[in-house]
Amino acid sequence: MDTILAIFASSIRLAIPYILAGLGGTYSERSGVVNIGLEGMMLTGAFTAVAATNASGSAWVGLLAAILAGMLLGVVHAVVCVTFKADQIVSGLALIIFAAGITVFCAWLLYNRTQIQVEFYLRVPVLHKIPVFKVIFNQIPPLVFLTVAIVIASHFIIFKTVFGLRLRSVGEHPQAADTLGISVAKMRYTGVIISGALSGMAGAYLSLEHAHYFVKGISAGRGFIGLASMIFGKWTPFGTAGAGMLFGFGEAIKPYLPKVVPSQFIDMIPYVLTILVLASAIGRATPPASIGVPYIKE
Amino acid sequence: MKLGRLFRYQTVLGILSPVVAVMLAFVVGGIIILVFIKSFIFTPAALVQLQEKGLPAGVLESLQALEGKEYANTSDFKKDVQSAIGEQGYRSYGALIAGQTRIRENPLQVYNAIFTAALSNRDGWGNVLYRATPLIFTGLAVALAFQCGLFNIGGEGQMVMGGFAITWIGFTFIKLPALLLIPLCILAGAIVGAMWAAIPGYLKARRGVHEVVTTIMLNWIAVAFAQYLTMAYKPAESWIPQTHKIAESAQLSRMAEYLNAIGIDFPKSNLLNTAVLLAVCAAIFTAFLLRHTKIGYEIRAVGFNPTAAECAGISVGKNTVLAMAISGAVAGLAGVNQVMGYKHRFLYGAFEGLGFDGIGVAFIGRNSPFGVVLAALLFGILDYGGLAIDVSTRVPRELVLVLKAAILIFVVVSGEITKRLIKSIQKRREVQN
Repeated sequence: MDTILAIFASSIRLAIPYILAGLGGTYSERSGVVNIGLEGMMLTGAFTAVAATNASGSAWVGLLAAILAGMLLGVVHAVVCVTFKADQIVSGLALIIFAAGITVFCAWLLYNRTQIQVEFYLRVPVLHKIPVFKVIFNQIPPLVFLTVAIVIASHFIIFKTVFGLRLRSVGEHPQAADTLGISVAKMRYTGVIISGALSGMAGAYLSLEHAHYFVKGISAGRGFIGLASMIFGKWTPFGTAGAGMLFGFGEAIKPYLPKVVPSQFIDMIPYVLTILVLASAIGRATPPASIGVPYIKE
Repeated sequence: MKLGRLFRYQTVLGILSPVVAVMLAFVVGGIIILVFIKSFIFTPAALVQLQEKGLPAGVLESLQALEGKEYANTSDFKKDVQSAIGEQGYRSYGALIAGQTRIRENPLQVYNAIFTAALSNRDGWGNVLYRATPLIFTGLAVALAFQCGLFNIGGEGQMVMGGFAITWIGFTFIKLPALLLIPLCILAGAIVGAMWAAIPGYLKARRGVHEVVTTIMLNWIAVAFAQYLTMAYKPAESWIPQTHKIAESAQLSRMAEYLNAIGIDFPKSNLLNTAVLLAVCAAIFTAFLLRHTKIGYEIRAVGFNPTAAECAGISVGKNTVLAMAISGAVAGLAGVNQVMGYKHRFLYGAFEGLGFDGIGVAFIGRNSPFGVVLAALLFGILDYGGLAIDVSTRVPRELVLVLKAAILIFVVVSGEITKRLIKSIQKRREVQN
């Protein structure tokens, strides 16, 4: 029983970055912009969170800074892809390279080393002192609750609000949306910037909550698993969350598996599943129709 | 006559825009250096300056202890100054002290250090070429697929799988003579790379799955798989994850041997090996294939307009798989330099990131084989010269990554601007006629 609980708890912990990054990808891709830069946004967020936390003395400031840093990279991606209509994949790749460089660059300059401990932890201000809540909040990172809230909110935002309808419409058929007076550029900017904010948050979770330190290349491909979660979840918030949980679970049971199964094969599962679902070998995933295509007004 | 002039516009703009993009990236890098690199030195002159600026004598006296000290970053500086003059003193005079002792790095000096280390002597040139070699392979792979309208970002995976195949042949058939073993290794790398790349090609042709996502996913599958294989073929006495060593007959000789033999002075320790010749051959082969063969013509036709190609009887599906396979074969050869030329065994660290850099190289080189070679040289200069700035300046070498990213962004943006410019010139000409 204890083992099952431990696996469950650790799969949630491992899934949070996948879910947040995947949700970020969902907002961006629903608006028609491919964002493979999630990984870079995450890494930048992870570093910014630690640096801002240690400088300000509050992990919440760190979280906010990470979100802002992610949004900043989102703005860069949007300017390159939406305003200049340049290649979205190359821009995303440039973001990844940039993040790998600038985080280590700043780590050397600010701290003279590439592994930085977090000095303050994320605590819910008042609640963690009340005995009943104390147990919950000391066991489960507050960002887990925030993530659950974001998943539910995202479902309503994307599928039940006017904003969501517009976001989806510019991703499916930008010409039609434009004719109806929806600004394609504005919606795409919003989508990409939201994806930056969520990926930055995913990075902050990694460094502040998961590892309690920042280290060179801490994101280690998690942004790509986020991307895989998004595709496996068919570009929907609940689907993404489910896929993220599944991939987190796969990683969580690794230590409990018999030695005959090499851990590297478990690592492949998210990627293999993504390819299978895209090839309609299991289920069918259809991306938004106008994804990756810059909108040029006639 | 009119057409001729238009063509000239296009070539000039086509060459100019990457050059401008690279320059702009260096400007951005320079700004980053100016903003971020701050060191603090307590020179006697700075202390005198502080006195003139009205720093109280008591505070100045406690600062005297720090004379001659140097700090590479703000946090060390803050800690020492705080302990010298107290927290209260730091709060009121910290900014003034920092202002007088701060030294900034001159970006031009940093760039000078990069280019001097890379290009001022033969050793530097050799190392630049050595680092450019795998990037030529991975860059050509991206450029080749791009001609067919495919975006192969799976270079990393194809390279890793090919690299492992090369190593496996190299340490399995140790009895074979070099004349047989070396071509066999190269062939194995190309075939395995081609097979790995044919998967996304097939999925695209048959199932309509976009190759970008599948190649990303196959990259990570390849990395995990190669790590598993590395552990499986690890010598028992080795503590780090790496495979057996390949047979001596599978190892390529260093260029220094040949250059010294014909009387050119070249350091023996230089890593440049004969794989660089294979890279040049690959570039020529790619250019020839695309421009002068039926296969190349069909590949480009599919890339230019798949519908028209299909109408003309060119199979889109077949050429998609074929273009991906050739692209993967070229990417798979990167291991020739990394394994047969230098490491002589497989470890993922020797490959990490080369596939992704190849994408940058291809785009900076405008997806033309000759451009890829030039861009690979540029990345080689940055990679090797970057090592020098760690030693001779206060700038961390990760600046090189920032530069690469900036170059990439500016190149794609300027490419898009150029395209629109050419279009508008064309339109104006049509109106004039």
